[in-house]
Amino acid sequence: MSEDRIDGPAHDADVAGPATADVPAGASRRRALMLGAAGASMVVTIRPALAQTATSVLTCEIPVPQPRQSGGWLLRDGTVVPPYTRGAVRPPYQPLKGQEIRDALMNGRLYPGTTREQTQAYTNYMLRLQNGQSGFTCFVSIRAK
Amino acid sequence: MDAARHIADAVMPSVMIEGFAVVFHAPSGMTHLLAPPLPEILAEIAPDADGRGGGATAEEIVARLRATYELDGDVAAVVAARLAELHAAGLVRAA
Repeated sequence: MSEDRIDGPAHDADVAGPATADVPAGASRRRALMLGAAGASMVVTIRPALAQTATSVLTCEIPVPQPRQSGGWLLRDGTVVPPYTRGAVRPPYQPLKGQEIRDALMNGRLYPGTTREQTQAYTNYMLRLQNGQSGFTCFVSIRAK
Repeated sequence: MDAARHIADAVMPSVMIEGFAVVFHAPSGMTHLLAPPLPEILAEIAPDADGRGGGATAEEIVARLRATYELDGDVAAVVAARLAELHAAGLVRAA
């Protein structure tokens, strides 16, 4: 939500509007931000059928990378590259399991037997998955719970 | 306060409508309508462009928000509650 960031030069302060309007840099008076009550909900989620796919989070698996790119290594950002590419990590020997992925996403845990670099590369790979790629539906189910 | 680090999900464009952020989260196929201060919190913990770094502890998020905005009340408690909500929605994960 970069439009909320205050990184530009100062501009006119007469932006009457929503609570998320920009504040001029260096303004003497900062914009008040409504935090809401701790118990109130600030999210409304629209959940399409795809997100309700009944795949079990415990049993579904994601090959990293997908079979079409089998053998490829992964850069930190999740890009698949040829084996032994500088700065890339080895892919997991087996598909990652739903529960492991969940633990990594929610609790910051490492995949069994991997380094933090590997875990980050694997997670970033999965974050880039798109509809039609192997593992996408499993990942959607894990994210949507 | 826990020292866990939280990071906003990588690819998350959004549009602002009447003070609400409409976020389409491609990895889950879900669309979220976020009221303040959620868009502001997400902006503070967005990952860097190259997918590295980014993220912050709850304490750091409170400090960053205080630096930018005027805040009232028990900020730490509310930010903790808001983070839990963002985690539940899948928009924030452990860094």
